[in-house]
Amino acid sequence: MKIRTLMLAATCGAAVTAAAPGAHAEDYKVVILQSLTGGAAFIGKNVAEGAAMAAEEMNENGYFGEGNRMDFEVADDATDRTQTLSLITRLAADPELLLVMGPTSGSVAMAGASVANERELPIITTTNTFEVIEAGPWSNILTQPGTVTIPYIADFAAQDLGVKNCAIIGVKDNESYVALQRKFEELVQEQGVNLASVDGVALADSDFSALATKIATSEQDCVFVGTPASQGANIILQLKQAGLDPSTAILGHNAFASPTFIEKGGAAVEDVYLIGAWVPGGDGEFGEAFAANFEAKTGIAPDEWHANGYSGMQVVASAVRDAAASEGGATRASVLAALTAQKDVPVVIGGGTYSFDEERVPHFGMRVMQVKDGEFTLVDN
Amino acid sequence: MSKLSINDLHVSYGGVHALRGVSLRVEEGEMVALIGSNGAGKSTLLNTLSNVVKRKSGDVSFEGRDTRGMSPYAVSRAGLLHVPEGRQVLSDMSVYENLQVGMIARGKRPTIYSLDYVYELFPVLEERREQIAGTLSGGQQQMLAIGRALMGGPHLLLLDEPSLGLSPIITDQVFDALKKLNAEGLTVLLVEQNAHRAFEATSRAYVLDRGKIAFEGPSAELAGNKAVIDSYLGA
Amino acid sequence: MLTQQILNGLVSGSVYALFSLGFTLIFGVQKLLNFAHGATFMAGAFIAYYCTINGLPFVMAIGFSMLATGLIAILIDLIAFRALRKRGNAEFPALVSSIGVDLILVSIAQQVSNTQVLNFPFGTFPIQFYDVFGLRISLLQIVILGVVAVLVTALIFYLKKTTFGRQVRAVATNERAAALLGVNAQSVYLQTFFIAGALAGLAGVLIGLLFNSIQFLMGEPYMLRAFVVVVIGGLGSVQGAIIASLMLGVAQSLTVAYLPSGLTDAIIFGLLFLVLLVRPNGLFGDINAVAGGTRQ
Repeated sequence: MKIRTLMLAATCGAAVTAAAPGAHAEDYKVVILQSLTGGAAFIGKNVAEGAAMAAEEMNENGYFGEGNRMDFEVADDATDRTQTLSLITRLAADPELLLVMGPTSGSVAMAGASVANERELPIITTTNTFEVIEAGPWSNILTQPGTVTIPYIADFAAQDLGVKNCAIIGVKDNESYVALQRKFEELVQEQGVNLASVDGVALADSDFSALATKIATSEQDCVFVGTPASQGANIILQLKQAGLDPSTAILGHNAFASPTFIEKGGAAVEDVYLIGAWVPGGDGEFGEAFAANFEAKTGIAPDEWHANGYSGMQVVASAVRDAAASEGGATRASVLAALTAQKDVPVVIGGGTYSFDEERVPHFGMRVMQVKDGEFTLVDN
Repeated sequence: MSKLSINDLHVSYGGVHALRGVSLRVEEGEMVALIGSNGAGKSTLLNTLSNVVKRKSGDVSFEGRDTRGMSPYAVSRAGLLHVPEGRQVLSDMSVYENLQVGMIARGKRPTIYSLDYVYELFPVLEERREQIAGTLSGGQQQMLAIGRALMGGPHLLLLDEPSLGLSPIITDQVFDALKKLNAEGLTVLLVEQNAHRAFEATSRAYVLDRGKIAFEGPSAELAGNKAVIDSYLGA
Repeated sequence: MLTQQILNGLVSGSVYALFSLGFTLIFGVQKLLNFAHGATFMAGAFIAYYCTINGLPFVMAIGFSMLATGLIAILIDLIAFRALRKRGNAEFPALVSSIGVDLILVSIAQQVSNTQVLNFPFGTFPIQFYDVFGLRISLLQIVILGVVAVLVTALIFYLKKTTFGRQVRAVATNERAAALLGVNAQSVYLQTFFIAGALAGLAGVLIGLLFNSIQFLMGEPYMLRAFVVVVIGGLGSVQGAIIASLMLGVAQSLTVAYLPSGLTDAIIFGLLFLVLLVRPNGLFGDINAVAGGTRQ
């Protein structure tokens, strides 16, 4: 277990030899601790890959100044709370270590937050829950909470599409999905949209025949589906099979921004609107370059989590560089202070820049997309 | 070769040494009675013969074949049919279906008693062939239990307290049927608490007392034995 | 919309019936609750899925899947139940060991599927809709109703009219008396488990196909429904289970359609309580049960 968890990224070796040692070369030590295995591996593994690629690029480009480099390691939280607790405790004992990028999500992230605050080690978890921020000053989040993301789709529905009457389908047995759904309801109602119906499904449900018939035979010009990608695709499939009016706008939140959504939904999810931080293929010069480089290097097109990892490392690197330039140089405290002060860091996600607000909540925007010919395409608005 | 021969059988049942060296035999074509008071071990003996209860030691030979290790269903398929105490009809099934299930024990052996024979022996079963067995009277259930065993092609019929809970008139009918079956060649081992009836119906008898054979001999002789009368026929 | 919802409910309910029949059959014969029945159902969907994506024609995939789930059910009997049955008084230990088997199967499926939701490839079954008197009914719904009707009829015929069926019922009613009549209970157990497993496997395939979703936890909501069906229908009663399944399917459709959402389960279980208050043995608990209701 121990050997597996603290493994040096295979790619890291190349970066070490490439960096030319200067007279007063500084190494800034950062650990990328993500769920490389276990339930959250589909997030963590990709975040780690994106982040490692960003760090390598910046070392090669001399981002940290002549001879200086980021000394990074990739480690596995294994989506396991206990393992993460002991791993972070051990990492915190290394005085050279400036920051941990991770852990990935859920209770594992919360476990990381508690140790980080106890040992005064800055961490930035991939998750988007306020609980991590509330756990103490040393624990931060990388992705935007629903309160930040949902307005993008709610405003789009109310203002750009001008919907008047919306049916809502949410997940009733998962609190974070319920919170997102409520936020959407609140925001569209404020803008004069009527809620035609509000229904909740359970995460384990797959029989939506009655719900689909009910909505298909009711009057509405919009259906909001706030569920995970594969379940949402299935609900939309059953809505279409129940004879939903094809002119009805179907909307979802960023959970749909996954290849699974199109894979499971096929033709039925054509024209569905959603929000995502990452536009496949990249949006803007920086994003397009990242997509091309990533694909050239790994042979696969980057997804939302690769892009989040890549962007997250831009923010971490910027904070480390700012801290190094400050009086007293790069310490844990100065890195933390610089991190939460980051504003308008160029990234490949959302609107293209990443900032923390006074509450340490990240803001980088969301893009509204639509499924067209089986692909996520940016909506001009 | 005896139809059934039991030699020095010991059985412990629920921590009680229920049978303590029982030896007994039943010859081809005989109807033999086994009497004894409550708890003497009569039902345990029958249950041991059909292997529902495991024996501790001793030999049981049915038609010259050692039954040790056979499953209860295999024993009945070999032709040793046991009509248990309390009839145990399949209460949710019809009379006809009970008789059909009875045929399973016969397997590929030739028919001995046809359905028509059973209906002739107990006409009430034919009258009530579609009735659910659980709703029959006690006497009718007893007739069904015997009829069902006959469908299984018995070479030896074990009967456990057939008169239990029956009126004298119905008991007469049941015993008449048993005597007829025996007269036609069926070998029967009859367990009864009603010793008068048992002695009257059978040629030989055994008296079981606290897990041991206390008396054995021709039924008429035992019925006149003072010790037997005092212990088992009193009042 | 009302008739459309009733149709939806009947289609869902008919698949519940397929699922619950095996569960109630095992309960009827063994007086044991087989918690691994939901995992068997899930395994049916998984096996058919992997057969289909590996190029087996769909009909053969279903056949193979039913065979495999039948054998899985037999294994469950051999592993989880047989040893306990020998020692007697098996109800509670068997419940626990069947939960164990359920967890093992679910964990395997989770590993195999990488926790992902799977679905049969598009075009596995033609998507075609018909308008019948204003009702929108798909070819798949028609096929499911037909297949379930045929199988249920065949099962009832089998239990009622064949020698083997009588043996099943004999064991269900009174295992000891059945043994004295030459019925081999072990063989009856193996056959009922096989039938129960194959029916559950088919139900898994149909549900996976009908609702485009195959995942390792898919058995759980169906286990819950099977409990409702079996209790309302009368423990061990085959006809009761069929009628209760259809009622449950329709009741669910109608509550989703006409009542506040999120209350569906509360209403279903509320109804269950009411039924039990009025009829503690279930709606059909006191009529003649095909698989035997009461053990003597």
